[in-house]
Amino acid sequence: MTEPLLRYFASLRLTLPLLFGLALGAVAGTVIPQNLSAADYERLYSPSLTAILKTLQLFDVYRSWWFIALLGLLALNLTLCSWQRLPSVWNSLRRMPSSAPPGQPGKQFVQTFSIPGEPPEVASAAVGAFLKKRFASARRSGHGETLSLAAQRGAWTRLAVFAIHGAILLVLAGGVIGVLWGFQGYAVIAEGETVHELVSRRGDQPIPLAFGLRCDAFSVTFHDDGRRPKEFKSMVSILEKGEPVLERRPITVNAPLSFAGINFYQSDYGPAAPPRVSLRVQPPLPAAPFEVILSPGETAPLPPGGKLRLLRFAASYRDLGPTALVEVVAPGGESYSLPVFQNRPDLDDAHRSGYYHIRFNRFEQPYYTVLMASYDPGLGLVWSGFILLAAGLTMTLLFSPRRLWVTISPDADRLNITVTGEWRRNTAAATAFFGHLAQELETELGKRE
Amino acid sequence: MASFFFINAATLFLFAALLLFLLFTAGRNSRLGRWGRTAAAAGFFCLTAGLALRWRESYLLLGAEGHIPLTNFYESLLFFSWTLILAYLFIDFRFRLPLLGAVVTPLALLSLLAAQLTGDAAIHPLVPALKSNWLTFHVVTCFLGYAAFAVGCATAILYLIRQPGKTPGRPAAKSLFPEAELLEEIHYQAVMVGFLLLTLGILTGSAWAHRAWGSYWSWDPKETWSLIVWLIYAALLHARMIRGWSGKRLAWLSLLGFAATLFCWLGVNLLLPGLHSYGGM
Repeated sequence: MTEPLLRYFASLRLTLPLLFGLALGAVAGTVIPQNLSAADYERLYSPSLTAILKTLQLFDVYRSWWFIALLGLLALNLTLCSWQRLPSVWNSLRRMPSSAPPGQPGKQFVQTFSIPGEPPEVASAAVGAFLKKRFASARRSGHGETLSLAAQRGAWTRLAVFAIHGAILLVLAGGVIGVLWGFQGYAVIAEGETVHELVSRRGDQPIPLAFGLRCDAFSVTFHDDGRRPKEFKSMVSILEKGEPVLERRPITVNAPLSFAGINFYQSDYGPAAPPRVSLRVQPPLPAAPFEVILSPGETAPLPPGGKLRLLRFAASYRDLGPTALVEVVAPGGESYSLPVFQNRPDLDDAHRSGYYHIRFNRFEQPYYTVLMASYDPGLGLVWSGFILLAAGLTMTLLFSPRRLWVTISPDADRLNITVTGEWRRNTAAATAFFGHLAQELETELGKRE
Repeated sequence: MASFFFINAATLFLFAALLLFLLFTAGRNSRLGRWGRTAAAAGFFCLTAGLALRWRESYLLLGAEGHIPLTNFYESLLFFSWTLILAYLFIDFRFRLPLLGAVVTPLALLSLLAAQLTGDAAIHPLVPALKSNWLTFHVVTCFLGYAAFAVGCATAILYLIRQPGKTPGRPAAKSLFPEAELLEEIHYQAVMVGFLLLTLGILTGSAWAHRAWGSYWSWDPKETWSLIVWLIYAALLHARMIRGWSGKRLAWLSLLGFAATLFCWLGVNLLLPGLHSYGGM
């Protein structure tokens, strides 16, 4: 690449449009619904607008060529910029100039005071000792009668920016690896069934598994109010050649199961078949009670000549637990309907005077569970990028590099001491710090005899 | 519940603080500024007590299902108000800038009032997706980040109305507004802190999403908007290093960044469907 072109791709002038471009693309991706069917888009937009948005790939922004190109350019920009700047920063860490360079306005502190005359070497030794104690070890150098000391602190934090940029590259690389060689799928498994492949989330070929995934049981529990779910839990087994290698392991929300590099997550559930509700029916005494098992909509004959129909069933109703709404027809033909509650079986006894007494025994609900599955070989890179990013940013915030020069030059029968401080961030704190340090140095040098 | 008493008291104190700061701005009486700060500090104390009690009350009410009060829209408004006053008090403590209170207090008060007027204050058990240790880290870092961006935006507003170069003839205005350099520095530091916290918020959210949903990034509207906010502030931090990008331009960029932040927090929940819907009203 030619020099000016290289400089352009490494420059901040490119960074800004890239960041804004990605931000705008992301805004478009949240404002325009993504990946809907053609019919849905027809309803939302006019045909001409649909055509324009489709050409610009605005229906699939995050996979569009231009969004990926912006990300690629950002990665290139980060790489080149770091590549260009690293050597000079590295050198400045190892060796700082022996005298203060002309500083940026507002980023430099200069203060001069004078002390009674003495050999400059003696003063230099005292300053060196002071700096070592209060700031950092100083490198001494001399030009004729003028001696100077240079010291720096926290210089290594200038490397943080490279850590941050490197971290972003790691995350991007991890993302690319995940997209290219990873997969995301899901499995819908009824209780007791086993699957050997996953449905791909991208909608292409099913993903074969090298093992069987069996759902032993699924359960959902509710809070006391009966509406808010408390826990969704699948018990699963992993089978290899028909033999279980993992048995009855729980998968709940926020607690996935990991096997062979694939993570399985609790994602959804539903009824695999109508519920079976067991009701206890007590005809007038002294007849013995008996059990009737019904699904919603079914009717059963009740001896000696009545009928019982299950109208509706709810697995949870307020704090009354599983609830069935039943219709009872007495042998005489009079009919009435009533709800029966698992948690309050006595409700029926106190207030009702029907021919039959109905109580809720229990219910069985066969479920299917939906497990999300993901395999992502880029995860390691992404996590290390995350850690490096957090560490790099924290480092930049907590520490900031400060450099300090002290020059000692004879002036008539006195010595002029000039303290020059330099910083990159946090002007108020740095000014106060160097002011305080210069003050202390003056006191310290005055105290010596 | 006792928590409501303290939350109401916090509202009153913040209202008093707002009045005092406005009087301070109008009259330039530094004593009023100090009283405003004291009222804001009292409001902060009450809100802290209110949140702590609410935390405790959730355990009294739900037993083992009790949880930190950071789990619905009502609580997020309370917590946002809390982080805002915290950020203001911190900066006022470091830089003596009661004027910032005049910009931040209205926002904190607004958030508190919105919580009390629109939010559902009842304490409910958590849905399974929210039952995770990541919850606290994720919400706390995000909201502290939002607060830092709010303070950055407030200093940017002060910077913009200060109109550098137009006030030398008016000593009174000078005493009210700090030096432009100080505002620039507070602004930069607030944005830096906000950027770190937002990054931590995104990273913890991402790690949590991996654990709960099986994917560390799904381009869910909330995720995407947090990325948009991140990109804007990343641009701001870098623009500072480009010649010609300083002062007013950065201040406007900060306003844009905070507008995106507000949208990320409120707009996404109100307008865009997605995985973070339980944060809605």
